Amino acid sequence: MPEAKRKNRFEGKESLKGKESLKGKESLKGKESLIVCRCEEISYQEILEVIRQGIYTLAGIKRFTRAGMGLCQGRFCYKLLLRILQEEIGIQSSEVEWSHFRPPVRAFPLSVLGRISAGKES
Amino acid sequence: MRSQIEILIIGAGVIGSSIAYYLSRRGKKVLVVEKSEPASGTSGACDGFIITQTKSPGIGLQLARKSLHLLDSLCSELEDNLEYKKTGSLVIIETAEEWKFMESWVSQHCQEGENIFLLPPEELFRREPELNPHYVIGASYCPSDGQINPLNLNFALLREARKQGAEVCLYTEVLGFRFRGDKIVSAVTNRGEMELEIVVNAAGVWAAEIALKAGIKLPIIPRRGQVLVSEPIAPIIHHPMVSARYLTVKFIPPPQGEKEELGLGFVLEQTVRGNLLLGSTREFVSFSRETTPTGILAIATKAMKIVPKLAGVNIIRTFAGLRPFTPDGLPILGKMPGFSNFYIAAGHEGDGITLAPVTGKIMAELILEGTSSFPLTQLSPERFPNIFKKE
Repeated sequence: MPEAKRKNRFEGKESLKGKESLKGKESLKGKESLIVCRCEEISYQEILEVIRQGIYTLAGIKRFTRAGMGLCQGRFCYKLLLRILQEEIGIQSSEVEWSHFRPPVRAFPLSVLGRISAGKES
Repeated sequence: MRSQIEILIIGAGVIGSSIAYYLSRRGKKVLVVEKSEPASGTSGACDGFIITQTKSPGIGLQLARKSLHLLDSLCSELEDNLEYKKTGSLVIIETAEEWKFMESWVSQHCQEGENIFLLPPEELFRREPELNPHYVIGASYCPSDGQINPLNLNFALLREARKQGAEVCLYTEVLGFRFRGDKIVSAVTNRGEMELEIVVNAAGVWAAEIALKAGIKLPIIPRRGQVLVSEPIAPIIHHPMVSARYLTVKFIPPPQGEKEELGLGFVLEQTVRGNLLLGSTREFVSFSRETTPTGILAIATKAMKIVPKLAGVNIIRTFAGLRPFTPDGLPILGKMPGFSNFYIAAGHEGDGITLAPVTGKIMAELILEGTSSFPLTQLSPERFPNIFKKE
């Protein structure tokens, strides 16, 4: 029953079409001012420049442009970055060297660690 | 694959890039080979301290001071914004024992002509109101120190080197060398063989691996430093700071309850963007770049003791970098024993960013003139007796 519900969730909704085309094959060409990394406000153009300098990894793009260095740590932009790499140099996402994923999964206040540390001592 | 390379530099970190910059500036045909990408090793996983007051009096301090002078001219020579700020630096003192140690440290620095002095509590808390008065008892202050964006420095040096005619080959790993007599005549890489006249090993933590391909054992090993990164916030501190423990670790036993095996020397810096960098452990764990719960906890605990307000600041990332450690804490700069055209510039541990300008400059002098304006005997690889060349 839940399965059937899920299938119908987007039925007739206009937004789905937009989503599909964004996720799908529509080229980014001509959208140079598009913001790719929202946290650090890095545009498609800035990413392209770095790739054209010969940088082909997510980690490298991040070091050069700061895309993926912000609050979300690349969780929103990495798929777009992979697509750009694919479009520019034709490599598949499975061939791309990813940035290291390290803790934390989400931003958290330092005091949380203080509590863990205090708990350990007592 | 290529010919007519005058000088092959191995490594496009901040050291290799600086050497490439100074050599290409003097019209030399330089090729930089990098097995990954610029700043993919130590130079891209560190803090941005430009600091002289933590250097041991003597050659280490002289080297750092010369580097600071060069950095001033670099700022006008390079087009990029290096985010270089002369904020001054603080060494944070927590105990009476440390105060005593720092008194003698400061007076030794003053004897060498450094402008560095101790700040009593009232003066320190006026400069840094967020420091914990129940924990911090004073600091030493060096006004000429500061901070920089290490990535910007690395990329700017490399970009300028390229403009001056240097070539850069990324994803190119040196697999071995070919020799004729006491010369290296070519480097064998995953992208072909490259004939050359001079080789410079600037491979940082991998420098020992490269040296071994020429039969030389170099005492450079990786030492891991874990760092926490905060969200960008309004200025909460105004100077990069390091705990005196960073210096006293060799002389004074640790305060109770602190984990000595982590080698924690606390450092705190707020970047131009507003992110705080909280570091750093100093651990010998081979080439592992993982961060660990114990490391992160130790840094967090210390950070909140020194600046209590940090408790409310969000951490967005942790990372770890490998520092190229040498037994005497000094970089290895000079010509390799037994070779006429093989040079080394590596082993800067945590000082690579500060020492990059001077390293590039003196290596260029050594390579082109056979001598340097800076005395290099104490930095030469030959200071380690166990280095040998296989026959």
